Amino acid sequence: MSWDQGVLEAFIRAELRLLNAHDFAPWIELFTDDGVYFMPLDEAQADPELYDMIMYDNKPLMRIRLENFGHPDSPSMEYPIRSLRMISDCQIVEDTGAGCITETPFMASIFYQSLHWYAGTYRHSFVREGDAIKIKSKQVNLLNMGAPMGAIMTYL
Amino acid sequence: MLTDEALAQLVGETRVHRRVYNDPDIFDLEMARIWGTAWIFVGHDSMVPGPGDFITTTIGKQPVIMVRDTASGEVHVLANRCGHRGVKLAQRSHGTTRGFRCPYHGWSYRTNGALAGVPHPKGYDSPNAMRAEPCYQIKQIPRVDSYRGFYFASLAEDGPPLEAFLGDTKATIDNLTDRSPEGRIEVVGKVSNRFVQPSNWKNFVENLVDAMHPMVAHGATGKATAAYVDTLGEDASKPPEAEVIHPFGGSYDFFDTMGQTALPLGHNYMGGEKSIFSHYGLPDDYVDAMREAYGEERMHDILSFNRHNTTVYPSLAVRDGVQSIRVVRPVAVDETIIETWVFRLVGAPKALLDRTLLYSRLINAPGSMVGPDDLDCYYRMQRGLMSDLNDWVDFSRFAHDDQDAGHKKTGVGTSDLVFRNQYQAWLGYMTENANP
Ligand SMILES: [Fe+2]
Repeated sequence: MSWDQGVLEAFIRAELRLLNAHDFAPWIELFTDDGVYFMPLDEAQADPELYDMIMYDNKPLMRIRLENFGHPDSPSMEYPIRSLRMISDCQIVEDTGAGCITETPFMASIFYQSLHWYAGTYRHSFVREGDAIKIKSKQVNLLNMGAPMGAIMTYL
Repeated sequence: MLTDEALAQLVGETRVHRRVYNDPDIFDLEMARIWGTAWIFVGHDSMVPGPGDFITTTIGKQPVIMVRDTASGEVHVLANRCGHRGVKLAQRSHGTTRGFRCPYHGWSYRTNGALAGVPHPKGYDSPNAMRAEPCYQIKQIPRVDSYRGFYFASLAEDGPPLEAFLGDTKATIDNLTDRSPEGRIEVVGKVSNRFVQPSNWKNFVENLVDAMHPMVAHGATGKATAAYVDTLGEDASKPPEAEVIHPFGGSYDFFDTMGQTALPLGHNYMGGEKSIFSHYGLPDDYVDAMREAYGEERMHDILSFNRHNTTVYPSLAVRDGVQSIRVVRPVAVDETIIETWVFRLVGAPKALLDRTLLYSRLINAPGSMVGPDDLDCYYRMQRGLMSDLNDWVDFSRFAHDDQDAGHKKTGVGTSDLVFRNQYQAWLGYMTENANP
């Protein structure tokens, strides 16, 4: 069964609504049990099994981070975080029937002490679990990957 | 005017003046007297594996290129500056080249820095002689040496040789390298994490061995991890993520028993027999490979060597147990870039790399949970010290309990001994006539 671009774009928009609302518990449930979220340092270093990452969470780490967000004992979490993500032009770049990969340009603004801008491409890998669509991996390719950068306080 | 006397007044026995963190004149003097004389870590052999491979970085404020000679295979550290008008030659963080050509007026150089050509040379008095003129070459950094593939350079003509400078920190570099069954390590990836910290470089160097902060600054991450483990139920085995994070919310006693060791020239290490990594299980196939390579006794020595962190003051921190290094690159009095490089143990199973990557992502990366809490504390310290109503930063913990052991001093893990030791070295470097 091949994949529908419109359905996937709507899925991503719904995913980003959860992130914009900092509603992380249902966001984590969008991932498969072995799902991963990661941000490579370089196009040639995109495999999280082989390379260090700017940010990397598997599901156990997402659940730890869920508990860590806004924790009263965390100095860096004392500041409010507000964020907004926009996408355009989601495209299916690979469709194997069982799985599918989309690439979607994005811009994100994070207010954390001051306003921070991020831009790049989301690369989602989707699979089906019964009737549900699940994220097997979400790769975030930043335009400034590999450049020196400050702390990244939330998922983009 | 920063006279030796004025500088000496900034460093007390158990405290330092806030100016050492936020005075731009002191920062400039540090760049000249500490970063301009000490052996500064530049890069690892494996970052420039082939002829013409180069990386660009800095020694203090000065831009440099580390490059492998296309002809001899030797590693050079060169000033990243054209011999003509001073334009920076190599701009990318890494690459491979047959030589360097200035983008402004086209002067070109070999990978050893020798002037190879000047466009339209007839306007110069003796164009051929220019190739022999020292002022027209790319300058080699005065002293360059390596220890087991770790390249250091010093901007000063004179000073102790590298091995004397490294002293007992050599054992940590040995251990990192010997953890490979082949005695060889390779850097993972051409591009490293570079974390920009809005604070003085010394905040980071102190934090590396600050055993009083994890339970506070990283208490949230420790508690978040415990809360997550609770949701798994009693019978579930702990995921490796929890195993790595958990000690970061560890108890004071846990850190006390690790111990601190202060070495000459501001170097130090934490742990030794026992460290934060000592409980990590090692895969059987790795232990077998190590036994085969080294024999039972030597293998045991290598794998039980457990320094949590070793600081080669001022530029390098080595975590041999998790095969990663962090490199300090000061930018300004209140800005520092920290590079994190991770290594592969050649001949070791993939599981070792998995653990190295996990550690870096959880603790060091800009998107980790632990790193931003450290960074926020440095940031607040940098800002808090703008207050001039209290000039002093305190390092008096266990002030009377240092144990002298030959050339080193030891104390419990939460002793401020290592900070006091760093500032004695700092003062030695900063005051011209003193011996650091
Ligand atoms: Fe820390």
